[in-house]
This record gives sequence, structure tokens and C-alpha cells, in this order.
Amino acid sequence: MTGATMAQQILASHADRASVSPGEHVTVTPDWVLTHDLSTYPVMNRLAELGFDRVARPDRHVVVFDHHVPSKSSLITDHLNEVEAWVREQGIEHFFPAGSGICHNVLAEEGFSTPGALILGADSHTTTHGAYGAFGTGIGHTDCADALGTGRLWLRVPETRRVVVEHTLPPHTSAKDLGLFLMGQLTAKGAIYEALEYHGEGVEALAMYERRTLSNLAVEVGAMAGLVPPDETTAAAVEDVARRAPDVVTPDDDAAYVGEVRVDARTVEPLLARPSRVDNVGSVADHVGTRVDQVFVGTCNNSDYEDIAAFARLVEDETVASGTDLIVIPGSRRALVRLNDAGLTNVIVEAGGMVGTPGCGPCFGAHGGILGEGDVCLGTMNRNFPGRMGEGEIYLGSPETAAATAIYGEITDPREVR
Amino acid sequence: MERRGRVHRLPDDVDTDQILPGEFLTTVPNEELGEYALRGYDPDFAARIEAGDVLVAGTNFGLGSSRESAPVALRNAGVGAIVAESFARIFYRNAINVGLPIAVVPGISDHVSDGDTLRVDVARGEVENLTTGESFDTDPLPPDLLEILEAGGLVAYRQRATR
Repeated sequence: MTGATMAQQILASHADRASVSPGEHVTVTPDWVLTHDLSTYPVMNRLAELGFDRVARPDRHVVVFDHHVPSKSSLITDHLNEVEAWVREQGIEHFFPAGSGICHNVLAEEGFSTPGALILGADSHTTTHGAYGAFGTGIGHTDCADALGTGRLWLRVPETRRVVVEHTLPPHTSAKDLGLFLMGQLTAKGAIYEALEYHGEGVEALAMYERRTLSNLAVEVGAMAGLVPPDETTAAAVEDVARRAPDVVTPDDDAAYVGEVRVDARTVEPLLARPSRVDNVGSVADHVGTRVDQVFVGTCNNSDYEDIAAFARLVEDETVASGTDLIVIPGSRRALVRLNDAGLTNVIVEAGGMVGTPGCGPCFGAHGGILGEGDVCLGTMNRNFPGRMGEGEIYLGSPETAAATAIYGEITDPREVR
Repeated sequence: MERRGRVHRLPDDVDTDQILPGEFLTTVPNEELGEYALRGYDPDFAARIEAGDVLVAGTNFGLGSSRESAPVALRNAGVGAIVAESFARIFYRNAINVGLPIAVVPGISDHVSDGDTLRVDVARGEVENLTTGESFDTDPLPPDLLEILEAGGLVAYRQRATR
């Protein structure tokens, strides 16, 4: 009998099983179920249709308002009001209203993301929590309603693919560039229904906000989860905030993997995903001079204090190019407060940028900063699908690439700035 | 669990933003979502779908968002089944939960044209191009998922179980 990967161990422990095998369907009891404003409304309606009056474990349900904040229409406000009334009626205590931040950032900062936890979220980027050694995965509305009603959900145990990052990233590159590199290598269908497990010096050297960027992008190659083995960095990050005692899970030495990807981090340079595929990856240097109408820094991919501070350091004493809109949206209230305290929101505003309410912003195509026909955006988000953010075209890049690009109004290599 | 219908071909990597763009999320009632099906891919697509038609897609169909409104839009537009070379994980679950039959047939794109008639039986694991006479291997759906699909989706399945 071979050993178990992290994914197998976490799913086994939540299915009350000694071991589970890839391909099996197992019934798990999640530690946390996450819904945001956009998903809670359909989920609560589906819960009633399924025949449940109550959420089985309201103390395990986390609701975060992040997509439509502040609300853009009366209809949406009506929905949000209904959701808030329902949250109170159900006795859901973990409720984070508009302005708290993006659900994944909030879960991480508030100690829900901990080693060994199983987190089901009605949002595809729930893979983010793999950064903490948790198994986080996205599910749909009916699945989520069923999980809330019964307290359980069936999951298919995934095969695991090892990603080994040797050496460390060069200056002016970040976890986003590493993530884009991997997306180019694996392609958008390279890990459908698999769990990724990230190993090597290049991963160990990453701070938690960078690991979140990496795990967040796991879903973009089709993966069910993207797990980083917990270490001292993880322990320090959850020490004072963990809502449940960490259950540190690491892979067995003889765990079986479906395959391995090796990356030499020293070869990673500032990268882009070009319109309109996440795996259409090229180097920033090859696209210098492409005109950009909007630069957007934020989303659950690159919106932590450190992400935006790296951006702000480059635009300090500079001016955003005429004809280019700069939108910066911190991922959480905590990030915004830290940026304020460090004077960095002023740096961005004085450079000509707009700083928005913590939340998802324009990323999902319905809320502020939507592109017009022919517009080009360079953003730090995780998707550039056709029509994702309106009519225009989207390039994905790092916060540093976004800063260099905002200053010149055209795609610019951050290594060329200062 | 047999469906027969006229084929609409789709390429690789049709994502959930193309199937149902973000601007229609939550603002459009479920029963009207069919009108917006595949709006991001081709604004005229939904108008061409007749009840029972079959989508034949390339790899990684439904990648992206967890939005269940995407398969609901296709179902409500009249799509009877989807056959793809592969499906994104969340879309695969959502399709079954909303009662939309799906089958995985690697390589099928090269053997089916727009307008062909396809027969899809997800219980037996049979996909046949009735126009060309070609048949294709596909695994039958696992019994637990088939039960949900045969009930018409997870809501109907639970309602039946509690009756």
C-alpha cells in the first residue's frame, strides 16, 4: 500500500476514513462552507428548494459580501437585504458585510484557513486556501446548499500532481510570474480534477500572500485544490488567528503522484497572460509598447498589503500616463488600513489612481471599471476570458508589471523602471 | 436516459464567462437565463437552439467560475445533452446537479459536424452519430450521479427522497 498525498489525507480525515484512493467518491464533513454575496442569494433559495429550513451547522458557514460592494442597483440591494435577514434568522455568526474584503482574503486573515482544514466555497477560487495547507475547493450553488443543509458533501478524491520549484525567484518577479509560468507549462486543462502539491525551495521562500497567489491560480489549470505543505511560515501566519487547531498534514514519503512538473525559478521573468486565455503566456519584454487603457490592481490574486505596496513603491513620485485609468482595490479592510497607515494610498491617489472599496471590483465583469469595445486592460487578476470584464481585452500580470505599465500607459517591463 | 438531438459544435476551452457573462448573474431570474446562453461566445447562439439539441464541445468545457447559472442557462435554452472531450470539474458537477446530461468522449470533435444528429445515453455509456453511423466509447456515469441526473437534478432527487 502506497502512502497518501496531502489531498488524500485531508479528505480521508474529513470522511472518517483511514485512507482514501484517487477516483473514489467519498462523503466529507467540511470545516467551513463559504458563500459570498453573489452566491449566497441563489444558495439560500436552493436550500429551501432542497427542503431544508435550516443550515445544519450555522457556526461553520462563513458569509462575505465582496462582489457587489457597494451595491450598484436597487435589485441587487434588495437581494443583499434578503441575504442579511436570512443570515440573522439562521444564526450565522461569521458574517462579513460590505467593505470587509474579498472572501478568500477575509478567510485567511480571520483564521479560517488553517493547515489540514477542509473548506468548500461557492466560488471557484476557494483553491486559495491551499496556501495554508488546507484543502479548499470551489462548488456550485446546489452543491453548496446541499452541503449547508446536510452538513456533508460527496467529493471525488483527486489524483495529485507534484510541482517542484527549484531555486528562488529573481528580483522584480513575484509569485504571479511563477503562477503564470506554471499556467503556460501546464495549460488551462493541464490538471483537470487533480490536486496540485507545491514543493521546493522556490515555494518555501514565498510569504503567505505569495503562496495565496499561487494556490489561487490552481483552479486556472483545472485543479480541484493547490496545496502548499505547512512550514514555519504557515505556523507563524496562523499562530494568533486560527479558529481551529491546525492539523499539520504533509505528504507521505511514498505518496503516489500522477506526474511532476519541475520549474527552475531562476528562469522566471516578468510574464503576461495575453488575451484571451490564461495559458497564452509570454514575456513582458516581448510586448513592451502595447497601449493600455486601464490598469487594475486587486482581486483575490494580488490584493494584499504587500502586493499593493510593491506596486506603490514603483509609482511613487510618478504620474499615471494620460489616457490610462488606474484602479487599485485592496483585498481587505485590513490591507486598506495598513496601506493608509504607510501613506501608500496617498501615493497611489497622488499618482492619479483611484482606490476602491475592498472587494472584487471589476474582475468578474459587473461592477465598476468595465471595459468598452477595443479597450485594453492590464490587470493583476486571474482570468482574461473573452468578455470577462466587458468588451475589451485583458492582459494578466504582476503588481510590478502593472505599476511600470500604468506609468507609461503601455506595457512596460518592471525591470526597466528605476 | 437517452437523448437524441441536432448538433451544435463548440471549440476547446469555452469558459463560464462565455456561457453566461457576469453581468447577467443574479440580475436575471433563472427562468429567463436560457435567453442569455452562450451570449459571450456568440450573441445569436441561444436563438439557434431548439429543444433537445446537443452541444459537442472540445476540451475543458465550462472552465472558470463556479456559477451554476451557466449550465442552467444551457438547460433552459433547450440543450438536451453536452458531449465534450473533457469538462472542467465544477461545471461537470453543476451540470449533473441541474439535470443536464453530459458525456466525455475524447476526440469526438473530429467526428461530428454541425447539424448531425447525435444519440447520447449516459446510463449505458453510449454516444452515436446517427448521421454517420459512427459510435464512440464513453464511460457510463457513476451510479450515484446517474441517480441524481435521472431524477432531473439534485433538487428533484432530494424532493423525491423525502416524499
